Amino acid sequence: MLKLSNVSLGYGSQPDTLSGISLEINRSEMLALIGKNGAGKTTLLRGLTGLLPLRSGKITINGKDITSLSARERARLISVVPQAVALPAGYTVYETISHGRTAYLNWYGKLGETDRQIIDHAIKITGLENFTEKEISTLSGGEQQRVILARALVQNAPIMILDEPTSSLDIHYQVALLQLEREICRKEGIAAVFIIHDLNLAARFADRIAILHQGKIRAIGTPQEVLQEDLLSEVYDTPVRVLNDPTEGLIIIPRTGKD
Amino acid sequence: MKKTKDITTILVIALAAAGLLGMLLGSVSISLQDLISVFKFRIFGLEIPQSLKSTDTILFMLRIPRTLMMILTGAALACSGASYQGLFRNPLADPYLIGVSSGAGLGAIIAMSIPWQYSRLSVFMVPLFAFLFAIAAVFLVFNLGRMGGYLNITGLLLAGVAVNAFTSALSSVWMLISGIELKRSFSWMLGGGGIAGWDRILITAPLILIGIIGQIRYAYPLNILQYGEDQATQLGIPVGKVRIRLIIYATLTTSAAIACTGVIGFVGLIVPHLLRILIGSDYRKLVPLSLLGGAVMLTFSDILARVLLAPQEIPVGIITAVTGAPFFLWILNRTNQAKV
Repeated sequence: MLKLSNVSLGYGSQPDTLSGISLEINRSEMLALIGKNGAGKTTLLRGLTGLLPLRSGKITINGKDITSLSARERARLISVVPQAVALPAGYTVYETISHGRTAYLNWYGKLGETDRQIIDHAIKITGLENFTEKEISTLSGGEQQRVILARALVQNAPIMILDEPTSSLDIHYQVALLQLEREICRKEGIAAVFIIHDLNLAARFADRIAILHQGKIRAIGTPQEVLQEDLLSEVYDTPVRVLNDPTEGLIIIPRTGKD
Repeated sequence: MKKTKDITTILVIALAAAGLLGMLLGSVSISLQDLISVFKFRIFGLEIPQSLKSTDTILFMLRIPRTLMMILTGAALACSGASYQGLFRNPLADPYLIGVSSGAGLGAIIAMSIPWQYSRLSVFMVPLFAFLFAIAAVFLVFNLGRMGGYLNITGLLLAGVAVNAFTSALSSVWMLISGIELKRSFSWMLGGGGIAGWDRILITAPLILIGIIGQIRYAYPLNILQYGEDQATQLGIPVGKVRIRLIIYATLTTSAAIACTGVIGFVGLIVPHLLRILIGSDYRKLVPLSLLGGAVMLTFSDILARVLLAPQEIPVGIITAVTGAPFFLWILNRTNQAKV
């Protein structure tokens, strides 16, 4: 579905931040991007969403090259859930979600019947029925993050990209949000790429994990394949232990030397 | 929804009242009866009787063009104020505070002082120079304010203060060395244009109208720009294009108004801000309602300017500044509290 072939990306006149990136993501799949700070996760995300032009290589969605698409065309193919951000005040939850339809609307942003149906569907999936008329800034962080998810959902794009969606949430909302995201991917056939620092959450929710290291993909595969003690210790430059819990699966903890 | 309708109704009624009072009040008051009679004679194309001749002259040569000019200017300033606030994502971005007005002022003063070969030419050159200098000022403020990284309130205001001080100083120097008539240009700098004739309205009105239509056209994208550059792009807005066009339309609107009436501050700050509190941040409502609100505010301010010290006139810019400055402090306080 989404295919990156030999992509390299970089800023200004500096050398490539990322190079030779090739990967493929399928329908309903969740791919986690992990790696040290500065490994190039955000850069890859900016390349995918068109904020940073490719230096070389190709990105295709269902065979269609997306490098030269307009912002509007791209927004119909890729939706984004940004890192926890302050949402502009003065809009209701419904209005905020409806802004996800921008790429389908005319100059005045008039919502049609189809648009409203899609919005209502997203509101239902994200469980925001009782919030629609509330002003956005009155919501908690976890609720706002669900609104952003709903806004991305109404973009009706086959690919959804999430930039550390759980970074500002407590453990309850972290799990709730990722469960919701997995449900959305399965039901709507969306492929999701998400950046995440919490390796345990990655292990729980990702179908596959890609480890970025020094501007390249160091490893890609299922959590079982990728989350190896040696590999993680190397890329994070920190000794790591990986335990296997019979019910919860992989558990990753840093070694602190208190053996 | 209902609130928007109510506010629209109130503003339309207020505008009608302001327009009427603007025609009646001044150093010479005109009675409603005389006003109606003059209009009757005019509409039916009848000869104006001698007793109403002076009333007719005052109305059609002075009061009506002046009131129309105030309506246009107020609408223009408040509308672009709303757009600038959206563009800079900052409730304090008023054409006056971000240097657009004084930039336009400098351009206009330079154009006024040049002895154009054809006197008709100067009527066009004043708005043109005003526009070019205003665009330069807004880009300067935008880039200076962003120097520390992203555009924040402090950066924007400081850049605005710097550009304002610089262009105002240049304007003063220019007035001194160019031999332009000082009293007139000084009063113009304070927003006491006052000398609106029909020919000026005919040139200014289309420019303001184009600018306003452009701003309404981009009101929805402006909503989306409130998420910031990255998210707006990801939602499908061509950010660069929208931003440049909005700056051009808003600056055209402002500078055309200023070229005509002089430098008038705070209308673009007060009106959109009050409306935002009442109806929220949807620019599709905010921009058109700011038009109405700005027209009402400036027309009333102008009436005050005429009657407060009659027969002497106060420049209308002074009235808006006296009411606007405390309001500005109130908003600053509100904004700071919201951040805590």
